[in-house]
Amino acid sequence: MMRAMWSGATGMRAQEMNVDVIANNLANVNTSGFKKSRVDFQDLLYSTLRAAGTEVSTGLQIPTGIQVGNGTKPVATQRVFSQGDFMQTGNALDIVIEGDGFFQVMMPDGNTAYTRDGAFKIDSNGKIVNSDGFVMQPEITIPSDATEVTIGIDGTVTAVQSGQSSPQSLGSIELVKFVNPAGLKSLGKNLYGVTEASGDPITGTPGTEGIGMLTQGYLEMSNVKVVEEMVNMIIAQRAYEINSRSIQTADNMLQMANALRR
Amino acid sequence: MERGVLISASGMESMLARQDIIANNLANASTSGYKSDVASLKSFQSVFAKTFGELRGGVRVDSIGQNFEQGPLVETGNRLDVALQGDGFFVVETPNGQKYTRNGALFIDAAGQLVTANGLPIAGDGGPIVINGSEITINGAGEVIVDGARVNKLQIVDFDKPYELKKIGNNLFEPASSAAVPTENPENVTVVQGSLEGSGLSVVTEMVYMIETMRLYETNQKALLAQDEMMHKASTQVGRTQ
Repeated sequence: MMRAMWSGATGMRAQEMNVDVIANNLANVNTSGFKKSRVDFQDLLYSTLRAAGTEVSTGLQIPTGIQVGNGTKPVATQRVFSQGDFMQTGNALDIVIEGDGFFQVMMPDGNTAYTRDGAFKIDSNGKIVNSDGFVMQPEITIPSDATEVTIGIDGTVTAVQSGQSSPQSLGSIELVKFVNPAGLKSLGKNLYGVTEASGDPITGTPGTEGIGMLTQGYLEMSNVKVVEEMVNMIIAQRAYEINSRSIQTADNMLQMANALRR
Repeated sequence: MERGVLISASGMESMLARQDIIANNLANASTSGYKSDVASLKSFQSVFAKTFGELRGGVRVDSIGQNFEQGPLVETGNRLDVALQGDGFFVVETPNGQKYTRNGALFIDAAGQLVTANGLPIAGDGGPIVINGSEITINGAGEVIVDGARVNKLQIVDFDKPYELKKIGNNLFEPASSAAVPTENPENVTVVQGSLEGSGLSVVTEMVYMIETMRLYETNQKALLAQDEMMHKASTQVGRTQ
């Protein structure tokens, strides 16, 4: 009876985490470059009351044993890196990656962080930075008198300076891809950090070796689908309710056991 | 026969103690920096066997452990609220010495010192933290920057795990044994300004504990009733000739 109650409790706690993740996805439905998460669950260890295959007497074995489960636990929050929708902004420094790959930015502590958010800006020194002021790597500086900044699909950045008719090349944006992007850790601020599980970053030119191409003037929106998340939320809520039923039933049965002695 | 009654009574008393702990946890569900208590029970066998030699069975509360899992960070937007992400404690100067806390709801008192809600100063690496300015920033390392100038750093300490700390009220902890020595500047902890650490209490777990406790209390009570009836029969009916 106690086992039923605790199994129900693990079920309720698992659904609480499920709803937490869904709520985070929904809160970020308008965050550019956001990738939704999903919780993966696993069943807990089973209590073996009678092992299958044990010998009962010489030559005779038990064909199936008795194993009772103990509930569920969350095992992973999987980030889903599907492509988000594109939104046309017309900003010269809004870039979208069509395909795999991450932009690189340098954080204040010296580590490199990776992001899909292509809403870049220029800081007071002309360097291309993200919304928090972290400088994009490799560093590209736009001269103050540049009029048109063009970013090609392979990442080359060119600008037309006043007094010149042909565009000058300022540098090239390099993207990075990982063997296991789901293993990246989320740092917040739309940034990801490298971990042992994600593998080392593999740098490359956009459009080559499986890395996506760049498109200027667009932003990649969040890949959260509201309808999908609402359905998941309904399922989670009903699962929560049904697990509370297990606990209530176990409680009622204990009450009946206690009532045997009037 | 009396022995059985005492054993059942010890069962009921331990369940009452457990219920007290659960009620305290639930009452503190929204206290920032609260760490829930978990009672562990042990049987009397190991306690009384030496003294009495014969008395067996019964149960009592063995120890009350604490669950020091990280609580969720709740954004409050208050410039003076800080939360710790990771293992560590803030240090508070009390009249009884240094105590430790996870509660980062800070205020500025009349002298400009950074204090807790009880007016106790929070310790900084460079002595008490005095704020003389308007723009207060506390970065991830706990450094206090007022109007662009670094003024002090919040002192953060950690202990060897498993933590041997006990609660003394007002969200404060103190070492439960002399073996618990604080180490300064632990790694893997960041200070988050503008947030408070919630209790992280799992209401579901506490409710199930509560149901379990109540049913066990009831079971023990039934056992007590059964023994009472047996004693009644022994005292009133045994030896009767009619």
